[in-house]
Amino acid sequence: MADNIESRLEGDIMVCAIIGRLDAVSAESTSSDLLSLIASCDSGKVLLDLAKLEYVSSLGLRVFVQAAKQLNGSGGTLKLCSATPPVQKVLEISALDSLLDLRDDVADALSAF
Amino acid sequence: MTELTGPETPETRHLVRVLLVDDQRMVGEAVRRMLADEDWLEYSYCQKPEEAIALAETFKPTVILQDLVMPGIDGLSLVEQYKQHEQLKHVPAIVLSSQEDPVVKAESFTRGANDYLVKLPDRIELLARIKHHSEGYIHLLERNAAFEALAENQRILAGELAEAADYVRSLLPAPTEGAVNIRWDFESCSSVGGDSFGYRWLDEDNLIIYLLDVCGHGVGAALLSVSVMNALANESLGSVDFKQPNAVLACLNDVFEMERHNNMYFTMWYGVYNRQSGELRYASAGHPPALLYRAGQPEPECLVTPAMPVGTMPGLPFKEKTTHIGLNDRLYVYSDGVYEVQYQDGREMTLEDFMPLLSAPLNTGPNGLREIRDTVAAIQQSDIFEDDFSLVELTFQ
Repeated sequence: MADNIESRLEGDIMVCAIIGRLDAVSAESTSSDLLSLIASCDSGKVLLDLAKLEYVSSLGLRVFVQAAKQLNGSGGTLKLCSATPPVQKVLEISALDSLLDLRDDVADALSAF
Repeated sequence: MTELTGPETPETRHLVRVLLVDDQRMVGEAVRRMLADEDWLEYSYCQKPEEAIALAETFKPTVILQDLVMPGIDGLSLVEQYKQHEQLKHVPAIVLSSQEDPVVKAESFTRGANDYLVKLPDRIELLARIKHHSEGYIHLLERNAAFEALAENQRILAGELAEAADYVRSLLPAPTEGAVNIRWDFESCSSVGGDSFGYRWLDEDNLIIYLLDVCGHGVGAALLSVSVMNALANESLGSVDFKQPNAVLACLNDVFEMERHNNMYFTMWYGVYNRQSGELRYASAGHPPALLYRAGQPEPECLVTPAMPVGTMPGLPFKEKTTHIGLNDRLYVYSDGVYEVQYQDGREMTLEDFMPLLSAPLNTGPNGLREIRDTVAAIQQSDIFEDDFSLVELTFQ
């Protein structure tokens, strides 16, 4: 398991904190590990906590896209929260902030499931 | 232990070769007899010390047995010559001496000997030391060969990547002057990125400009980039209206769905300028905003329509916007590689950091944009970019 994902359960919601950078170096392994975690989440409710994500490149967006596709395919729900300003800017340009329901913080996001 | 017996195979392509340098023929013969039954090694004997280097160059020993005391030259001087010789410097040298003297032993090691034996040594011990030292030397040769093969492969790969980069570059349109002056700077990153761009007049009034950035590096990204560029250049996207930016992006989004293209997708900016109306229609997909500098204004307008990168999700709608272009307005379309570099303190350069480079008066010569590229290179203190650098400037007349 990659060391840039920390996962925990809040009730039946899996919260995955993504840490560091999502770029050409880390995107593939992070995506693979995240998809495995999502597959193990029985409720299909997944929250990505981006508070400690410092940077995401356009290639790093693949992590969110593939996670969303996997959950959409299984009837699950993916939400994002706590994006740092540079990450939020990339999410906005890519319209992922609205498509994946980006929330201000963990509490706000958890209450929205 | 490395297998040192039997004929040469890929695993044992280096035979053990023992060279004895000793002026006493009797010693040469005694050692020959000791080794005679060992078919895993070759033995050569040199009686004249002045011929030792030349013989070693041709025989290519894996270990040298060097007599200590010889007429005209002492054995340790020869050992020193071996160690200074480019071809022989790593060949283990075992000094043979009739003296069991700690001082002589110490001096031998100081002057480059790898081992010390009192002659004539026991046959079993001699064989063990020959094996031990030859094995280490053979491992060194094999490691060097592996490094050379790796370096050669890297040279070949770098050549192929450079060829791919040259091909992408060859497809880029030439700078042009007229109703719209267009110039650009493009530099492929070392691993070849997926940037490409194009512009052309659809008819006498409408100019299209586009720039795309395939997410990822390498030949695969370049191939996809070229495919998209060719589809746009040849207008081979069915009945899509190339004057409608959102329709073009939507069509590309369906044609280049990531699951059918090795999970690759791309960000893109696409615009259509009508010189009669002065309108610029544009749409973008996950791409940084084009920057429009109104004549005389230091701050740019950001031209962006938020949308997923092309190919990520089929069926997504794309929006487009329109703005009006004035005389001497400048439009910059670029990829994120122009500013996604790191300052020396580790901080990421941002688009906001990059913008002032464009708002300052630019050199209007054909290489004016190179100064922007050089400034960014200076910021990251490296002339090598980790992503493609693509910057296109349009000045409206």
